[in-house]
Amino acid sequence: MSFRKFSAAMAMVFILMVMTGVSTADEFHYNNLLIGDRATGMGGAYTGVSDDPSGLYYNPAGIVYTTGRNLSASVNAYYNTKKEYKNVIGGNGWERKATSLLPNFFGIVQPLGKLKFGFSYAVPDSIKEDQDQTFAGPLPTALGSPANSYTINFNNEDNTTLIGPSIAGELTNSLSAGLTLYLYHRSNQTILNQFIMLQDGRYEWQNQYIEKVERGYKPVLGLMFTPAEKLSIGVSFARIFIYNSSTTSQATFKDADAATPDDVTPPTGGPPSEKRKYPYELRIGAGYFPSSSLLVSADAVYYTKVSDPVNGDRVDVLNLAIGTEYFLNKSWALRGGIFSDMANTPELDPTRTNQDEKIDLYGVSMSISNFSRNTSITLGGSLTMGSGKAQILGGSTEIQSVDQAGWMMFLSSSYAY
Amino acid sequence: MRRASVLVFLLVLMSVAMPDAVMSADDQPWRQRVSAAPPEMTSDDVTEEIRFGREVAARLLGRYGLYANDPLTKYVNLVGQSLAAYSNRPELKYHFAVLNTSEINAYAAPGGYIFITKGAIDKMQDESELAGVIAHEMGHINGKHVVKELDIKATEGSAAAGLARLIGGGTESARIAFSKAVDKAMDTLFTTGYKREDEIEADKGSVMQCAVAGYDPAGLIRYFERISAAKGKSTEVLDKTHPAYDARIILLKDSITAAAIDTAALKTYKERFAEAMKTKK
Repeated sequence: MSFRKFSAAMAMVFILMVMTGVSTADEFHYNNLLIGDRATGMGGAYTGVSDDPSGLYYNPAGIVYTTGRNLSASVNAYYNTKKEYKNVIGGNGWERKATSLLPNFFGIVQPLGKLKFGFSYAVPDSIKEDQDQTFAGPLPTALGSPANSYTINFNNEDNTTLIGPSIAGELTNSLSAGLTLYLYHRSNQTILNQFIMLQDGRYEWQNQYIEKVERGYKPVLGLMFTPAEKLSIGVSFARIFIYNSSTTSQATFKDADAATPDDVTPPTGGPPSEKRKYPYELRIGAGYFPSSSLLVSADAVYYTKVSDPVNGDRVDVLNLAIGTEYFLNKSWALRGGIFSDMANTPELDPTRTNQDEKIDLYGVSMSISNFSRNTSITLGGSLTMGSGKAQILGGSTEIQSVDQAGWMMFLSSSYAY
Repeated sequence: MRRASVLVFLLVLMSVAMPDAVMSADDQPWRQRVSAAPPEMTSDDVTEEIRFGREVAARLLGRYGLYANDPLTKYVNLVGQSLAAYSNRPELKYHFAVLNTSEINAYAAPGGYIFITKGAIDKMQDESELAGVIAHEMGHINGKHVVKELDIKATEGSAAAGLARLIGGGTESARIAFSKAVDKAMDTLFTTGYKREDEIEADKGSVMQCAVAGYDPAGLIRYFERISAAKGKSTEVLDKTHPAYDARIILLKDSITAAAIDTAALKTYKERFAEAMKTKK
């Protein structure tokens, strides 16, 4: 049983609330974490540039144009996101915070004969989300007594990892091709604990645990075309294919009138049919290099819609990004970018229940790099914010407004040897 | 499974479909950022070049062994040092040695290490021929052919570089890269050879270096004419890693003519060479 269905089923039992639309590592967006040191500073507008190890992720064809014999780059980032759901319980809002500190990219590029080979590790999605709130009563219930208090403890950890080799070569003087073959791994663990203390002394308690692991692969096929001097056009095409997916879940429920927990679901594995479906991803980007000190780039990334009755349908999404890089001198460079991260969920229908939230996000990023002979260090960050609608209560048609804001800081290095 | 097969096929196809492609960021110089401009060579770079060359020299000696003949080694060093006095790289101290093999060849390792095989010396008839071969090898060192090709340079000692290495694990990367670069240098010496333009530069350089040191630069021509006739195992590596002798001889003659060098006025030191050869076992 999927977590979504599971939660919905439990919502029938609970009088107060059971959450639905649990955002597991924000599966409702495709552009959760920007990848790469230079690319992150430029808002992820990198498909038409891609001439350093970050290109292994965005457009492997670009690594043909890496300068330097061997290049490696690594990025360590700290993320912080906050979501505020308004008017959830008796005028009270819900607040969920997520943080994550992780090395989110490592890449190395090396020439071998007339080709270039690369290997990279990327974490395009990672979250450690927490909600620890107690709401004081009296709160209305259908249990024959108002609630004195309602406590919710929610913890969600979700990590997606890509790791794999790349190969690229020049087909003609103005066209190169590259292929990255990532192994995909996603692990998600969600724990939800809810406790309702009623005014008449009874209490109701629920505990849920869901663990999901997905394994698959993600090929990224890229082309880089140079139609004119100082201009490059990059195109890459990718999709995640899941070949193995497993789900384990467990739930304990104590009814207000029961003396002991009366509904324990033993751990179960999910059937193979629950393999999540992912969209096709088409990136088109342009890079304009007017001088050795200035670079301007833009990306459009289109994700196809997905029909997945188990994990939720997804609408098609178009994300845009614009970035620039300017060298103050040989040793210092500034980068900046703006980007969008649109929700892949449909508009919420006020007549339906258990719908996924829809929050369109917009972000800005910037970074500063210091270059020395073989190395560069980059310090940067981004801000993301947006607002939308959510249906956080299970089995309810109520729709809440939700605001989301996040920031990220990263420190990265690249090394040529 | 079918998709995986298609991907593997694509990977293989890409690796075989591009053998003639010219992969280079140099084709699009406008991509190069101002931070990537090549820096001036520092004394640390020279130290690194010498360290690298010493490693290559050790591998050469490990492969062939040193020809244990002190008088001959001293003689080769004297000839070499007389040429080194006119080198454009005064920061280097040159070392010369004879390798104990009947193969006909000579090798230059970055940092000033030059080796000539006993088999090559056996084919020589005068000192100007030896000087020509040494000058050619010196040309590879002076032109920094391996250094440029493999981008040999010092590891940075700045705080920023240290931090970058800490974040990216660069220290280990540098050590591995050093070892790999030595492997590539050995590959250049024994399998792939220098780039054609590097060989031409070294041949041209030998003409002027011999002439200013007082040697007949045509000595290298005579040597080439003689070993070009020697086919077989003794010249296998030499033939594999160098351009054709005919073309090199024409180039040397053209260079001598272009520089208006009067070869008759320069020395071959045939007798001195013959005297030194008496020490061979």
